[in-house]
Amino acid sequence: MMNINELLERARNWDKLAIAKLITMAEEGVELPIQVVRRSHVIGITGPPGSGKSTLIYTMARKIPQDRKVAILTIDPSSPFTGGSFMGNRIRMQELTSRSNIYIRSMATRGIRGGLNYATIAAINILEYAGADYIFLETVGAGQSDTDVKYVADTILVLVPPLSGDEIQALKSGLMEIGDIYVVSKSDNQASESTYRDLMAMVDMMKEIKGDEWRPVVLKVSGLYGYGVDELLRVIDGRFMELMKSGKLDSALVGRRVLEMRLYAYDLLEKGLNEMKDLERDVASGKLSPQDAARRLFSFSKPRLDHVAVAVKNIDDAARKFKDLGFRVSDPIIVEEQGVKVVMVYLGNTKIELLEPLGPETTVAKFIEKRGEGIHHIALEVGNINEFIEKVKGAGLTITGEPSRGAEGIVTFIHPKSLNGVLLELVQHLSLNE
Amino acid sequence: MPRPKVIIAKLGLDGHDRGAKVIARALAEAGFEVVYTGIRQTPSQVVETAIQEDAKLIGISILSGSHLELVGELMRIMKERGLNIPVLVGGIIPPEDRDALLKMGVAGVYGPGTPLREIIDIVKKLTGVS
Ligand code: B12
Ligand SMILES: Nc1nc2c(ncn2[C@@H]2O[C@H](COP(=O)(O)OP(=O)(O)OP(=O)(O)O)[C@@H](O)[C@H]2O)c(=O)[nH]1
Ligand SMILES: [Mg+2]
Repeated sequence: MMNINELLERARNWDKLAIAKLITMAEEGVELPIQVVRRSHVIGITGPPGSGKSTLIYTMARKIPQDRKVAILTIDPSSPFTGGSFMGNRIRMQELTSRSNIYIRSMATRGIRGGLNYATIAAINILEYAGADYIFLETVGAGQSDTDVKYVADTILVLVPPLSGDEIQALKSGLMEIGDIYVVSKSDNQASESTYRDLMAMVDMMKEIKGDEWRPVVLKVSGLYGYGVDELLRVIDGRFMELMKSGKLDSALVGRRVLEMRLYAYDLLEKGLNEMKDLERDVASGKLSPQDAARRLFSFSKPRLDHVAVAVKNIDDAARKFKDLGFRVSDPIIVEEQGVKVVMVYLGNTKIELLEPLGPETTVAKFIEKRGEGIHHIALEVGNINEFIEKVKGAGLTITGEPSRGAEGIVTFIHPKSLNGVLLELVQHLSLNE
Repeated sequence: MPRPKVIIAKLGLDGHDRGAKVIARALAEAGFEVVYTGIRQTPSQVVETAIQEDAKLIGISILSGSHLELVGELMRIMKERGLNIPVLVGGIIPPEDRDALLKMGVAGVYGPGTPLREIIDIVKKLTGVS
């Protein structure tokens, strides 16, 4: 078995075996050390079941010059009961399987949501890293996947098969809002002309509602016979140039990362729910209320233990020990306000904070002088520090001073003399835009 | 459970796809992620598919009578590409050809009337799902 670095090295050279193994690892929850540099045009293909998504991807991929690398991810639903999945999208594309510039992978939705899952995003990252010029993402075309695909695809293609006006009306809720390109698929069919007219009317109406920013293209295409596909590819490539010039390609990475976090959270939540047997017992016996038990699944409900701080003489030495134990540690930061150098040791839902005094006159230096190295304080994260301080005062406890800047937010302390010898820090984390 | 991926494929110019679809559905029902390739596959397409999908097992369905040539070719290409995963063969296989297939390295041969339960169990065993 090759290690991750070897696989990454080989994936960079479009080695499909390595790419495939990396995607499986991502599916199994392995975090891969990939820094994405944008180079792929990620194209989401959505539309009702049977609208011709796979067939159109096949025809587009076949027409793309063979010196461009094409990756195709097709998503199939997992059974919510057995977890299995029958994956049939490849049937329409098998002829491309032996082309060296094309990689095709079927992925199941897995999980509780039924849309994309975090492995889909990891797979996109891997394929972009591997040098794909195009990444086609075929969704299941229903429900949650439409909203998800908006955050990962640079361009969204919505397929509308020949339908009646009323049926198009019914589509509008999800699909009609996200498209960059609307395609009347199966346009070799008689009914496609009226579908095209109805779709144009629909898009014009949506434009009124959504404003000038939204300028989708509407095309007639037959994936099966190739009609309109060259034009579609020209529109797709033109859009890519625009996205690159405007910087939107890079900014799209933010959406991708945030969605990956959300999807990973859903996965953790699902695992948590499956392992909830203890909590179920406590709810059954009345020890916990259903609400309290549910909240325990979320380590971020506040107030929560934010960290335990340890005063040390040599922070590099201490940090190395935790690193050797396999923990992720931060780079040292200097916090002048508190007179300390700080290293965070990350543990799933909390941290250990290592503190080295900046000078002999600092409180931490005095602490070490008096009591030696060891646990210095415990910190709770609160939602609103000022509100919490009112509570502390109401309870007759003493605050050491006005809230001030700490290593990761605004902090203050409850004096140990008023709390059984424990120095209790209160932290309010700052969000990105504060 | 872990979700090993399996490929179900039809080799050659054989249009009998009912059995392959039955097997693919049954395995999906049993919790596997099953990629069905459809009919008219070449051995090299099937090997490529298994590589790209990182499959843990290949299931071949043949009712046309060309199993010896096609499966022989499949096993040869697998070896050439360094793909070392179990292969099962089902369909219309005369009893006298069974041993030849097993000798090629096929992990099992299953003809008409095999209970689906038995097929699911062998696939579980070969992919390491207890
Ligand atoms: C239905 C059928 C057809 C249908 C097929 C419809 C379809 N889309 O599948 C039609 C009418 C189209 C058809 C056509 C032909 N057929 Co026809 N057909 C049959 C028939 C009656 C049943 C096959 C079937 O679907 N069985 C039901 C499924 C569920 O069973 P199964 O496929 O065997 O699968 C089971 C096992 O084999 C096993 N299995 C199967 N695949 C796999 C894969 C794995 C991985 C595993 C573990 C197990 C496994 O598990 C399954 C469940 O137990 C058989 C006779 C028979 N009794 O088998 C002839 C038969 C297969 N046909 C035959 C022939 C000759 C033809 C034609 C050439 C006839 C002609 N001259 O035109 C054409 C060829 C068509 C083509 N393009 O290939 C011959 C084949 C002879 C041979 N191999 O030497 C047979 C055996 C009839 C006979 N006795 O002559 N056929
Ligand atoms: N006439 C015609 N039929 C088409 C065209 N494209 C696809 N089809 C047929 O429509 C059916 C569904 O095609 P797919 O490409 O599998 O559609 P899909 O949207 O990927 O389907 P799902 O993945 O199952 O949702 C198949 O029978 C195709 O042959 C087309 O351009 N014209
Ligand atoms: Mg499809």
